[in-house]
Amino acid sequence: MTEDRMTELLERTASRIPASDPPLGALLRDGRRGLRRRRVGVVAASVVVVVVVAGVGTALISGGHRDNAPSVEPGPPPPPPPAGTRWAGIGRTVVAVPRGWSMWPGLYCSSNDGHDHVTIVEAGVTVGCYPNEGSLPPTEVVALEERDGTFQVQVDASPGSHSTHAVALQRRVEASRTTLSTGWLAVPLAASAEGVGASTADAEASALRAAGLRVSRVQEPAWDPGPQVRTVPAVGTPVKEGSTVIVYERVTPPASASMAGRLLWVGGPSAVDPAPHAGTVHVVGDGLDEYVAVHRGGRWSFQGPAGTYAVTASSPGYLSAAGVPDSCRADHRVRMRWTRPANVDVYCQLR
Amino acid sequence: MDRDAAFSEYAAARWRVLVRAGVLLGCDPAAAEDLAQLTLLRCYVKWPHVERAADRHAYVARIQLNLLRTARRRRWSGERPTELPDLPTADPATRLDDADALARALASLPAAQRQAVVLRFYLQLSERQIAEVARVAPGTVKSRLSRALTALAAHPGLAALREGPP
Repeated sequence: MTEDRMTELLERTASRIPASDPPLGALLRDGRRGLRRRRVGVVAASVVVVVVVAGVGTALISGGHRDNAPSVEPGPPPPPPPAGTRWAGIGRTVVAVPRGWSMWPGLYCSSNDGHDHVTIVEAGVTVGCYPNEGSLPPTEVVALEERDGTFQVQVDASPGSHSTHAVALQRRVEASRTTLSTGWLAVPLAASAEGVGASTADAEASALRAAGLRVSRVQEPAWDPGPQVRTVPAVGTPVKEGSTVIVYERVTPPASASMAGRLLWVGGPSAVDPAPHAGTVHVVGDGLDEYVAVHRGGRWSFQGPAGTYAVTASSPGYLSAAGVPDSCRADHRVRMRWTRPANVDVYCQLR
Repeated sequence: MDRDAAFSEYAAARWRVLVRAGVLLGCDPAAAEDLAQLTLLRCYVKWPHVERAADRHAYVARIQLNLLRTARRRRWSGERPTELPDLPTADPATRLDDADALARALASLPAAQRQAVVLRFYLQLSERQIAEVARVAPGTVKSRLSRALTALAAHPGLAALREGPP
């Protein structure tokens, strides 16, 4: 079995392993806590020293804590939603909606009254915005109106079913209406230029920043299923002001890919640490034959079509004054993909 | 870019890779997510080191493997999942294809060989980087990979792959 074949199979195997979205909020919260503990530890140690030397340690401790304190303390988080539901809404108003309901930024509607609506529909019944042609008329609607728009929970009846279920659900959603504490808000949705259809990643990022949130952007390949633009946490989810929201955007893979790495002299009688050297890297494969200059720091990079390449190099001083051509090599053929730059070190083995 | 923004970008981009690497290394999916979360937490606290690392992916892979080793030492008498979970596919007829067969064959490898295969062919680390991450000699990595590839090629479930790509 070739190494390329193994890489391809392993990636296919991995792509089928389900992975949830990154718990970025929890990671940042726990990370900051961990960092604070470390800092407090360092501060505490400093204080002991200072107390011994000058007897003024207490003032230093309180000063250290004030540096990290936010100017306005956010209120408590929303209470846990009823079992099987999650909070979703707009601005500082949220309702508890069933967990299974989809909430994609792409579902963006402009109604006749001039307000924009996000529509959430019960999974598997109707996808679309009322009054889209072909969708069922909504049986019950819960609308949360805020200055910047309306967040609409639309409960549709399944074809042929009785609407009692929809009415009961609408009442439950309505009864759960909750106002978020100061310092909390629902992840906003950017207005779409056309009024209907997905907003762009740029627009979504701008809307998030305007709402006082931090933005992290990630590109996903266009062949992954899902909406054109989505966020984590999802649009409508309550978050603390200043939190980071990831905006995922599906993009068509670019035609070119890249690799980068170092040119290193390694080994030798005394087995010294790998040392970066200047030289010329030679990339060959898939009808391409290119040379890349490597400067004194040993770093080099190459951009070209995605594919598999042999990477060799020559380095002045290695094997001869001029460097024997292609006498240094990477320890494997390089598969260059658009998804991430390949990391390739090229080694000149000293004997 | 401040720490939170830089970290968030990195975490968002690498989360799935870390979770999937955890599963390929023998964790069940829930444990793999825990492991990925712990790895990223460690990265957040040591972010300046992560940013300065000559090879960030290799540095983070080392953190992940160290945490995995620690977790396994702690539950030495507990259950050790060695098989990958059933991989979801849309069409049941395609369940037993090459990738599924590889998943099962991978589970039959000794831990060190399996780790070398995942680091080399999934995380795309070089043999030298794997040697640094696993703290073994480069020659050991080479022999582990060679043995693993031989074992995988001989695995009955991967018989078709011995002939090369279809």
